[in-house]
Amino acid sequence: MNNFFDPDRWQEVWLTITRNKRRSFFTAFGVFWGIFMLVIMLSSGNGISNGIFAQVQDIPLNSCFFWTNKTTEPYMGFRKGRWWSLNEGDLEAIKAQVRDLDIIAPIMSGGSSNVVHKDKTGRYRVKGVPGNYTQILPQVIYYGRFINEMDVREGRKVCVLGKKVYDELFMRGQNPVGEYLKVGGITYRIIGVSDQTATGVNINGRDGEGIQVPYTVIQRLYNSGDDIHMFIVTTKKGVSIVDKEDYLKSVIKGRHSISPSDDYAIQCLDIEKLAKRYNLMLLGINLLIWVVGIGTLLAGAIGVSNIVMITVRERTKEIGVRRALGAKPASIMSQIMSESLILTLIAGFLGLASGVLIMDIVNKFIPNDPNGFFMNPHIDFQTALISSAIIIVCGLLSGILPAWRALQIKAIDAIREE
Amino acid sequence: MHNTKSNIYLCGTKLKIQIMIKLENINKSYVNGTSLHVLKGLNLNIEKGEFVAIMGASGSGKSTLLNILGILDNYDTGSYYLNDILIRDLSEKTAAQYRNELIGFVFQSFNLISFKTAVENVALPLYYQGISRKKRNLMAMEYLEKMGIADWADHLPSEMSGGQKQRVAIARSLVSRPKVILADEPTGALDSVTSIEVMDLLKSVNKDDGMTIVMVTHDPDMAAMAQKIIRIKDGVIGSIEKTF
Repeated sequence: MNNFFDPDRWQEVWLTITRNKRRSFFTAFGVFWGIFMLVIMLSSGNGISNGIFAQVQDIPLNSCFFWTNKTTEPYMGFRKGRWWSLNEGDLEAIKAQVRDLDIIAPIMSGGSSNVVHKDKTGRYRVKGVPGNYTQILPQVIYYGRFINEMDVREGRKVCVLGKKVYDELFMRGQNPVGEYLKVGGITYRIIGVSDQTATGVNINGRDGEGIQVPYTVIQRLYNSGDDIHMFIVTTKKGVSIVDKEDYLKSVIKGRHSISPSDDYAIQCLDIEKLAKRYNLMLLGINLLIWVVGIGTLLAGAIGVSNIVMITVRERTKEIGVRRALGAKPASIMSQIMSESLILTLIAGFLGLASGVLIMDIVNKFIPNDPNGFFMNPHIDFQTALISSAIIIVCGLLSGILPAWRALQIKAIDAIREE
Repeated sequence: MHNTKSNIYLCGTKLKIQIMIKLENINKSYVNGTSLHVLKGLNLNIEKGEFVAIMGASGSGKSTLLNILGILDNYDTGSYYLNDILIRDLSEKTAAQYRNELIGFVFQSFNLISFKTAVENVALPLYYQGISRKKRNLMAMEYLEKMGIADWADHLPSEMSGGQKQRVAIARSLVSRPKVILADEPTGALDSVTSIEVMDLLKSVNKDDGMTIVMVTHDPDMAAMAQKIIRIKDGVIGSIEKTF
């Protein structure tokens, strides 16, 4: 009779719950709401997290973008406000002088150009990149291949179209590889179509919305010798880029007669610092969600406990009668505990399911904006498991006190007339 | 084991009488600020198959006596044998088991579980015996039929009249085939016509099944329908009179 898996026992519990629908509903609602809110909040937190991390997705955390600005301090006879340029010599210098660097990728900005393919035209940004560019800013290749070292070394007039450019200039499903394209009057052969995976990084225009060519082609086109407009470096695995930044800058400043204290002249964007800031923010958000969520849930569980407690008081007569009819203390205890457990379980899993469902619907309605800071709100399987565990623990905990109270009821209480 | 069997010789014939309930020098006090001595060395024998009515003024200790008989309350000193079993200082678990197996309760306010149908109410004692749902519902139906309310098996107590409820309660008290029925003012909440019907029912249970019935009442008309009237006075037996 006291066997946990005895179907008769659960039938008795189920009967008690379903025959007292209103009581059961109000008892369960607290837990339902707690879990529901927890799921909604956790999903939203994940949505924010996904949104933020999509911005820097796949970019190595130990990478840093460098670009130049006007000098702001006079130094070594130069006036302030001087324009200066990075060059390939700088890259050679930092490669030689700064240890533990991995990839060094120069970038040329080609400005906006008129692009013509057959009868279709458009105005797009052109960017000159090296062959190792995608190791830092990963790209999805839809057709063909990306620019390689050979293209760069030989200055081939080839180009990779951004996804958006392809969509606007070509028919859907048409393979553009091998076709020719006029960019600012110069003919390039198309070698591929790509899009960047990190939605939030924007170096001189999105790669998916412009045209990428070997950077040496841009250098020649503008006759700018070995000048480069910006570059990206990454450090070797396990080495922090933050530790290298200052030294790297000082090497370049030294080569261009820039004051060591001029922080404006050379600027950098450090993904590691950015990610750290994001992570800290997300940690804060998640902490808040869990604290509030657990609090809500706890309030729900205490609510269940409280209502079951009142219920037990209301049921004094019923419990007393059961005891007079031969219910053993253990069977009364297990009856009350099982009722709490079943109610919390049902309410909890309903809350879990509704939360997931609502967030699924919300997900369908939020625009799939790559710039958005809210993306794909859902809870992962692990969180669902943890939530389920919390539901079960809550169910058991909320049953303990009322069950103990029910044990104090003597059969004699049933007989005593009010 | 205490010997509760006595041999009585009547006109040379040996009659074997079995004592169902034997109370010896029962004392019971309630300590609630001041000590209240309720039962003062009460002695009582009730034979198997007897139908007795216990009467007494309020405060005489008749409710306390019924609680002790029903293993719902403990006593301080003395001994209580029910069906030859010493009932003293039992654990809650054993007490529950004995209540289930030996005693059937009938209450003034019926004490049916409101959200259970008649048949479910009747089957409840069998649930605590671990009898399967199918079998216990079958047995419960059998007793509802005996009480003449099989048609009401699937009704909730709130849909039934007082007399019907008490019939269900009597069916419930009988279903576990107890040794004794303890009835606490079974007609207290019923009108006079229904009261007599219920009393007739109890009498037939007593007569046909040989069931021992102990009934507490303050209604002399009802008490007169039992075989014996036991009057409690100041915590002891005042008088025992046979009705004819």
